[in-house]
Amino acid sequence: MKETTSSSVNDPRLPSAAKPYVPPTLSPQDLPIDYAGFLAVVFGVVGVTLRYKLCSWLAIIFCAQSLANMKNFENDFKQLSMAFMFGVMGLVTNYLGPSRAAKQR
Amino acid sequence: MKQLPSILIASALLAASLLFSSSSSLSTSMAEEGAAVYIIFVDEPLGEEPEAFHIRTLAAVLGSEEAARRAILFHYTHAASGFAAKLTPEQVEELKKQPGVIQVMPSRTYSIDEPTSGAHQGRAGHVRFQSVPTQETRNPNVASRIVTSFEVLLGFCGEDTCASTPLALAVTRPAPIPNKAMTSRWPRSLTSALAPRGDTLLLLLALLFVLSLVTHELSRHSALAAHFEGFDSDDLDEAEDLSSSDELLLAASPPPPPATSLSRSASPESHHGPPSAPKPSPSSDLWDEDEFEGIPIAVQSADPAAAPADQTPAPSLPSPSPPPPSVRSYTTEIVCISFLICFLINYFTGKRENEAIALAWAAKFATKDSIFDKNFSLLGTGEDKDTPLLLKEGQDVFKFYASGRRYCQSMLATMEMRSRHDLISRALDLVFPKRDVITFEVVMNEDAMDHVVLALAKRKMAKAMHKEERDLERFATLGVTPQSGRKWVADEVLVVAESKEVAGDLITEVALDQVFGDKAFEKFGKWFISLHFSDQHPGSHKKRLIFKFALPDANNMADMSRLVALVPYYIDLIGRYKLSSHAQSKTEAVRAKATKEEYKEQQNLRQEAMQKKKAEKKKSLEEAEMKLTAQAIRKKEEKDRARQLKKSMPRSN
Repeated sequence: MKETTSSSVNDPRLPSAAKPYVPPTLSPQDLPIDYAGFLAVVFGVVGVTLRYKLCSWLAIIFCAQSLANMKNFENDFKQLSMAFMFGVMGLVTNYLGPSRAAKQR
Repeated sequence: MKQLPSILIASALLAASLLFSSSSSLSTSMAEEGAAVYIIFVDEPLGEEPEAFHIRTLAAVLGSEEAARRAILFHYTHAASGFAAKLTPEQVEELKKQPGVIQVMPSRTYSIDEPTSGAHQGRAGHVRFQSVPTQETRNPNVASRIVTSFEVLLGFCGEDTCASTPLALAVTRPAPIPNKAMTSRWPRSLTSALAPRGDTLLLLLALLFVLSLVTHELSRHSALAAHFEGFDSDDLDEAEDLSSSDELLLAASPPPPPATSLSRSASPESHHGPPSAPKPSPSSDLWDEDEFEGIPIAVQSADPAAAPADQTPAPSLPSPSPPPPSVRSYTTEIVCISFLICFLINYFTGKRENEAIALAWAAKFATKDSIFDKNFSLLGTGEDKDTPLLLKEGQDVFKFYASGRRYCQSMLATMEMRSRHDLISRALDLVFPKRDVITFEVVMNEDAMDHVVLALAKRKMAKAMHKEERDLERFATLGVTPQSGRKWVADEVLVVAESKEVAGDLITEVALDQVFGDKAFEKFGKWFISLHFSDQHPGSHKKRLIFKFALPDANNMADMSRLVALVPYYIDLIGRYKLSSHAQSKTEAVRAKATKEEYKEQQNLRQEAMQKKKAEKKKSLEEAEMKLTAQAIRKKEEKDRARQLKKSMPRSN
């Protein structure tokens, strides 16, 4: 099929009409919602406030997911860093704080 | 809460210092068996330090000043002159004969703890306030408890000298080791520093202290549920000591919960002192006994065995802690960390997989002498020849750009891979299967595309597209078939087109033969998702062709070569295509109508916006007016008031 089109009309190429690639400008609102980052924040906050170490671990995991899926560094970094802080804080308070609470549970 | 550690440390230090000072005096108290504490009142010495006078007086009885210094427990220097000392009855008799000695009387203890001994007989008293933390029922481990004991020593002088005037008042906190039978000397400086006049103030202070400690304890218990065993610092030492004393105190009360007995009753793994060390039996008696009084010998003898064990610091601590944690208690940690490791590994492998597919596609269709190289003069996103063909966005989106071809401005192929790099999405993909999709978006030249609205997809998809895509909904009808019994697309495929003419002209024999016919579609249908050509696309570029195909895996890229060949084929076909004049007039009318409607809609929107603006303006104006009127009213009132004042002024003057 390709042969039929390109052989019948000698050369379709038109270097004069070539336009360089212009990356589309995306506003931050149009970006798909980063569910992983959102979940990471939620779990991080829950982990810190209620001292559930599982929640803090989940926050870290979702942080990793969000980081893996990150496309726009500037836009996502704020939320991600916050979530990560919360996750780490939860873990620190859980293990380095009054650690007996965790052990006795 | 924050102050708690500092308070703990402070109390630990205090206790440690007391322990240290008292242990030094242990030997003397051990030597004088049968001795008791007496309070001796003497004359006020003239031109001599009271302390020196006391020592001199006692030295006459005991033989040496060294011995006297050791025997004296206390100097009373302010209200009356005197001292407390540990003496045998013989020494007392001898002392009574000394010059300057007014009175010698035995020291007695009145304890609030034990109401049975509370007959107020003696004139010298030693009153102890013990603030025991609220009984923790949930957590039986008493080791966590911090006992704050408050000792207020009150020395009363006899009725004959100055009745009911406190001689001295010493306050210390906390003295946590009563059962250790340590006779501790009260720091002399402390005693002498306290003036008798400030006694009420001190009492108040003491009460305040007790109150604050109790509230602190309460708040701590409620907030932390008292998980305090296992502090690995010196406070623990103290905490343990305290707990032991505490337990003794509680011995009379209902039997302690099992955990307590476990920690205390020398279990084999506890390094907590010699297990055979006899526990002093009359515990309540012991508790009452104060460091000043003669302590039963039995306890003293038992003590040296217990004391060193308690003084050995860190290693003795873990005894009350729960049994060594098993693997099961770390399940969450193990699972989470292993998941994170898996995630990390999967990230790199998945990333590589996606890249492999994208590169295989590029190698097949975008390298030299391949289909896109033959059709487009510019390949890749960069200006130079060396720039990579593919643009990577994130780990799962790859873009390929081509430009420089007749009839079209540019072509952008976007490969959206499955999120193989993301373990969680990968797991979700198992439940909701997804495919790698490549979307070709060709922007046609404005003059190169006639009025064409055509979409082609599998049945379900076609229906969804007809509903969702605005241009299809407005201009096209679902399920177009040609007039005659002409060869047509496979049954699974539905055609959405503006007219039969467009559908018939654009779905050519070649296209049917290569892809959309029954036979070909059986083979290539699984890679085909949709076609969508329209001159009415929303957005800045209205005339666009969109092809959506599924990507085969890296090894079978050749499977979709026919589908990819559709892209240049349709660019040429549509670029050359001209509607018949009859159809043209029809479509033009429709488009004119549509643009009119659109214009109207826009006008409506604009008008609405205008009206909204107007209303807002009006509102703000009204508000301003309201303010103004309010101001005017206020001004008027002020004027009125001023006038009235003026009127009233001359009258009053």
